[in-house]
Amino acid sequence: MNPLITGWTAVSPYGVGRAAFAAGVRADGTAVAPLDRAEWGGPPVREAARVPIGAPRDVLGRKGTRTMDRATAMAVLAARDLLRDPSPEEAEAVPEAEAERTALVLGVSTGPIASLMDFTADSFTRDRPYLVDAARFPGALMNFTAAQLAIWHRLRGPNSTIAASRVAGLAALGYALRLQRAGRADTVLCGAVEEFTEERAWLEWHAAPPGALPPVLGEGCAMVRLTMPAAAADQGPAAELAAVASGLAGPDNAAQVLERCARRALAEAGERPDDVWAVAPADPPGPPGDAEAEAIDALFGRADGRGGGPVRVRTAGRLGDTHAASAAFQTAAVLALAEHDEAAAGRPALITAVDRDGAVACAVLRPAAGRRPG
Amino acid sequence: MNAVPKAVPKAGPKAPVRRRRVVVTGIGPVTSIGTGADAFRRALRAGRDGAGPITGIDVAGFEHTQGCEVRGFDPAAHLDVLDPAEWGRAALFTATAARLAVADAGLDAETLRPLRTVVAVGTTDGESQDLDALVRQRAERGPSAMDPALARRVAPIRLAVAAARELGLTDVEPLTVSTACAAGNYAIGHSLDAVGSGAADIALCGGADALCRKTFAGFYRLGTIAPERCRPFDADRNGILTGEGAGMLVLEPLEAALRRGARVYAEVLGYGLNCDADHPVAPNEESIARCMRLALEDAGVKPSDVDLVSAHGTGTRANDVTETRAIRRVHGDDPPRTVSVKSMIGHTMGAAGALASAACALSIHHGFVPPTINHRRTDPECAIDCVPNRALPVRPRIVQNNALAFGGTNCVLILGRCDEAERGGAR
Repeated sequence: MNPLITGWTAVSPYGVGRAAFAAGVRADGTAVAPLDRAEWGGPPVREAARVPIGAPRDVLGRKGTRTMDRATAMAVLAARDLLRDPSPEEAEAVPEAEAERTALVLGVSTGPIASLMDFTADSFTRDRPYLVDAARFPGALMNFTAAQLAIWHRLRGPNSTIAASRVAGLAALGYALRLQRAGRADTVLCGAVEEFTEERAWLEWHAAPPGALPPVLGEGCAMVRLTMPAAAADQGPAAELAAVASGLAGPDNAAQVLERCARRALAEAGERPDDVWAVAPADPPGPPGDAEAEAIDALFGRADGRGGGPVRVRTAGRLGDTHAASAAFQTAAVLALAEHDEAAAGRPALITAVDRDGAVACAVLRPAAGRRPG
Repeated sequence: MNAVPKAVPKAGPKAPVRRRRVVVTGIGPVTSIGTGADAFRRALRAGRDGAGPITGIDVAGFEHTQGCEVRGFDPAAHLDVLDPAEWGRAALFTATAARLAVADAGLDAETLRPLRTVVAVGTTDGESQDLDALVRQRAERGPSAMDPALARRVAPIRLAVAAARELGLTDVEPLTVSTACAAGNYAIGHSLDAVGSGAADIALCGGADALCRKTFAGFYRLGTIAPERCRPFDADRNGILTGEGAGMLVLEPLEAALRRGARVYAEVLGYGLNCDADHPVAPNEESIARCMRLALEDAGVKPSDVDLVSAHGTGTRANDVTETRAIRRVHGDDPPRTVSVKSMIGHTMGAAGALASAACALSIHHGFVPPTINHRRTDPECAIDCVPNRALPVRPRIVQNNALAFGGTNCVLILGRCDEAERGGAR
């Protein structure tokens, strides 16, 4: 029994919420913009794709946001969109039993890297090495955002943070799928988040291979609500989460490993490559992106530009490199396009990702039949 | 082993979703009191204390500098594939523990390669020493002076990747779970679901963390680092000692273990996981009790069936009182013996749940209850028998292993003696 995707949302460089994201994806425009050089203290890069929310207190108020990073604020906004409780004050409206059966699975890369580095820096720069800010200690841990979401939205079920870099959005879906198939949650909020910070920009600048330009970075959070069919009766599903597969590539076989994962996931979903409606690749820079493209060609034939084969859904260049959040945005883009494409109904979409450390993953979604744009 | 899972009904009154039975057949610990299953077992039984002056990270300027380090760790002595120069300390702990666990299970890389494998690693801080170094470089010489080699290797997914690469696994699902100090149990629980459902043939799972400045300074600032000794449940306890290491377990279907005549340490009967959704740091008694009940229900056992609890037992004022009360809520006024292996190995963060699980499995198989060491006088507010200072020659049947984390992220695992394996004449 597979969970249904009964809702999705995105807090993206296109704007806050599902409508802004869907409009941005359909218009296929870029959200990359020049950085304000007067305020920028990061490496010598000129552009980024940022989520227009300002500081956490600007969108969530002062209460409970003093030590919050923007990644957490983005995730709180996304989860709020998918829940019936619009604010902590009204959280009591969620019945206890439901709160206990609602899980959160969040994909990250290295977690709150800016908070972590700032917290630790105090230990090296202050008069005494222990003069760190205790109130910011939890915010320097990788599960901070997930724990904050639980507190803000009173999610008392399993609360899992999956650190999986570029495959994080798909690794989170795979983890959530297993959780639900094992009967450990009725509803899962499942997404991934990445923040654009000077710290991350510096690390990416240093991590870029010699001679290669560092990627134009993006940020955001995309999330789906997964509901077991028995609990989804009154929610019109957007899609079925049919299968997730993941693997690990060696230095030169990422294309083969991804192709095997994709064939396995399609088979588990009861689908054939020929029937695939859309494919949404991660398009990472460098060899991982080349391998991904090779696998997709092997599955569906080379894109001929004349409309043959599945629809290619591209998000990477438009939203910047959203790293941990990228596969969650690919998923959201597939769901956004499916709502306006009658050819999508009941046909599978394949979402893929390849990480530079070797992890590969893919998911098969089946957009609901008979759904009309609402 | 790729066959469709046999829907073996689980023992016990309630089994929400059927899964095949899963057992622990290999243990790979890397700890301050011993590396490898035999050394770890002997140290646990002897009640060894892993504490000593910290030397692996810079602790100049701190007044108390005790910790439980893996001294003299030599990854090259264990690893055949990975180049230790290219990986961080946590990844090397993980790969070493995985190697040890696989060898302990009587398996080798050749046997594993055709199997669908999950490698699930829990961690609190990932490559924390590399992150410390990057922060220090930035503070001292500016951000442009950060070491690119370190910047490239801080992604926590590399912990799972390291273990899989070292073993040459080709059909493997790498997973790093970052649920702070409960992460080791999360990884084992997830692997139970993966192997139990038939999605995987075998799993290598556990957790790893390396001592780091960030965590040491953070706990120090909170006033929760013990000056000398870690004394869980003691009236005079005064905090944790930070530890490091890794624990990896081999989980496989009971049927496969019996078929190959493997030594079965214990069966993974079930687990429960939940979130307090209450406070970023302070544990919540009611929620912890609920997590224990979820685990017992999943395992199909009653609270009264449990004859040993391996507590989260950090040695802080708050944890030990709250956890003891939660145990009494679930297990009643005469709760099972409740021990803390953190008294010996310190708080190993993401590895803690995994190393405690390893201790539980050893306890079940070898017939001893590890002690809570450094104990003088039990706190009346922690009213449990913590098996002070000396191991007991008692063989538990069902053991509950608690892991509680910052963020109110809880995971409780239930392990049990596997009678079929013993009747079957396995070692």
